[in-house]
Amino acid sequence: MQEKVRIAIAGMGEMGMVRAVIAKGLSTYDLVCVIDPRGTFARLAGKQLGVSHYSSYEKAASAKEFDALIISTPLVSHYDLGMQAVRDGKHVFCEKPLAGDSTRAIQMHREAKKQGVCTQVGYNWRFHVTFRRAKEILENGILGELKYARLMVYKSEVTKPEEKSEKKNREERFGFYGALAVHGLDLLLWYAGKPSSLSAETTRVFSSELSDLISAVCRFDKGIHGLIDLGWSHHGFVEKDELSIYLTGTVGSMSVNPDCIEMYLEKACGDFPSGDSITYASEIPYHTEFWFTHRGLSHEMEAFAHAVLHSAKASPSWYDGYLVDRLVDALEKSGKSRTTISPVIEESE
Amino acid sequence: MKLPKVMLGSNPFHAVSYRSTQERKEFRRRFSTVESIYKVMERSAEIGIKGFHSYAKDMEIRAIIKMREKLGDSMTVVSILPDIYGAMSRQAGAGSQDKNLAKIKMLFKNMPALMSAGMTGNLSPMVDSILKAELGFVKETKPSFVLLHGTLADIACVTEQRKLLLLFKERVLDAGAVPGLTTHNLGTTYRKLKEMNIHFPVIEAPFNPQGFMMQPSVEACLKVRREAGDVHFIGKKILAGGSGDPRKGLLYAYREAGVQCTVIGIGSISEADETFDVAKEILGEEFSYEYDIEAS
Repeated sequence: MQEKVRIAIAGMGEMGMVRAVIAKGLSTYDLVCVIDPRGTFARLAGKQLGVSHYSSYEKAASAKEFDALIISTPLVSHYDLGMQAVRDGKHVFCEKPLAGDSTRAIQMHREAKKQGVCTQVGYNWRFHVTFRRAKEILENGILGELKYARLMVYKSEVTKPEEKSEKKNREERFGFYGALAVHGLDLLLWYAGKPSSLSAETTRVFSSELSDLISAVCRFDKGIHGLIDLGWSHHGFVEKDELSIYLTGTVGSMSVNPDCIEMYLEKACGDFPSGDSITYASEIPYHTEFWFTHRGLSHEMEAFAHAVLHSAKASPSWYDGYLVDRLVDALEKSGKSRTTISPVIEESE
Repeated sequence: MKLPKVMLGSNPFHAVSYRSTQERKEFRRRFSTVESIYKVMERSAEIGIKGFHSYAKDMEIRAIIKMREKLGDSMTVVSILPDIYGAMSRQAGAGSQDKNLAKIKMLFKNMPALMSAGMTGNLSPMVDSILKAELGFVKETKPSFVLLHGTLADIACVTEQRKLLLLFKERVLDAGAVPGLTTHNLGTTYRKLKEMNIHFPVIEAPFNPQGFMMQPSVEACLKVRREAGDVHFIGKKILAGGSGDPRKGLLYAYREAGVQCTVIGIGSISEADETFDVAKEILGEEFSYEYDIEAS
């Protein structure tokens, strides 16, 4: 059986370099080459990583054999590059958000499915210890039947009027959604399932295309309802972003963030005591061949390699990426039209 | 150079917490002056601590200089370099609040090295320039040991940057200190160092009963510790990011893992009393022991 995934990485910005370093640290990857149209970036990365460098995917694909591609390029190129690579039979890991447009995202998912390749989207917080443990708690029914979910994602990134170019740059990066909010939305979908209807309020404090402050009342399948509360124009979140989810079931509640899980249970269940308890991230075992940052990136890449090497389904898949893009579309549409959107997700996997 | 058995860490002084945003905010508020950092250092010294860790951060450095005035040559400073963001900010001129202006100034100052890196893919001139500046910045604290920052050490090892690691060693030795490195991936880092045939006499890595940040596994880290007889290990994350019991953590580090030294970040005077008293009780006379390591 093949032991290593031969990989190329497109986009040698910050995330591309992080992916490359992790790939070098994990024995399940063989980094074959790096790709960036900016010569300086490609040359520097190639030299430091000890691999070939190319200015385009086409040049790399014709010169080198590789099984999979990591797309760490700007959002605008995810669709074209992703479609091209899956049509070439490559397994593809794409940074979040998948396409920033649900119509294109579902096309990407359908094409990947047709080609029978493995695809994953970079919602790495699913691999962070606290969020992953929270998922296990839900799946094991520790909270009873889930009834309510509230997502809160706050940043202080846009708290004053910006230059036109700065504004344009941020819009191209999908506004606040691309900055952090999509991670929270992915976690919410992972925990609560697909939303069936939503009613949103959106405010453009400084941006022109996408919203700065977003709130929505949501109803999910299986009788769960909840709130979405997002914004990058909140003040005082400079040193540390807020990313938290509060969940209530029939026998307990929990609040989960990157630092810890706070829980309240009506009665003891398994290892969990009755009443209040707190589990810090540092208390949850997390072992990886090469650890790099607290965000679960190493496990995320290990999972992709495992899926490719064992012909298994990768998760979060491009369909999960589509779900997030679709939810963003619905939030913006509802906020703009001041109407309730229902159904929110028309497509099934 | 003397490497003490127990040392004071500095994470709380620059608001690092693995527990909560609230604790980070509290540390930021509590350690907003040189005096507040100095008080914890002073109390630790009264208990018998002789080793002090320091990142190249302005307030920590000023507190250490003040401590040096009191303790003289009996204190050991372990400096962790480089603080990339701090270095950029200092190059751009202290007190500059305009982020864009700071970036422009930093780029301008590093332009020859950056151009060289971009054209040739060779980072050495740029790294050398940052290292020289950072070593100059911490010079007044008279560090006996200079450790390469964990993230950079991990990157340098897995990407096999032999030249850059040797450059770091050379510059630290030139400055009259013992070079070492910190790591979050002891198993992998140590293997890579062996493959590159590079030896560091001091390595700092996580050791705790919870296995927090002991990568790739607890067993692999303990194996490295047992096999690397020519390395002095400093155990960090002894309290597993603040969620562990000091007694259990220290017993594990010294008795089970068998590290020579530990470094523990302390967030208050009462915490210094509690933690270092436990260390004294566990180590007995060994508490004040110092290892002799040559800067060669």
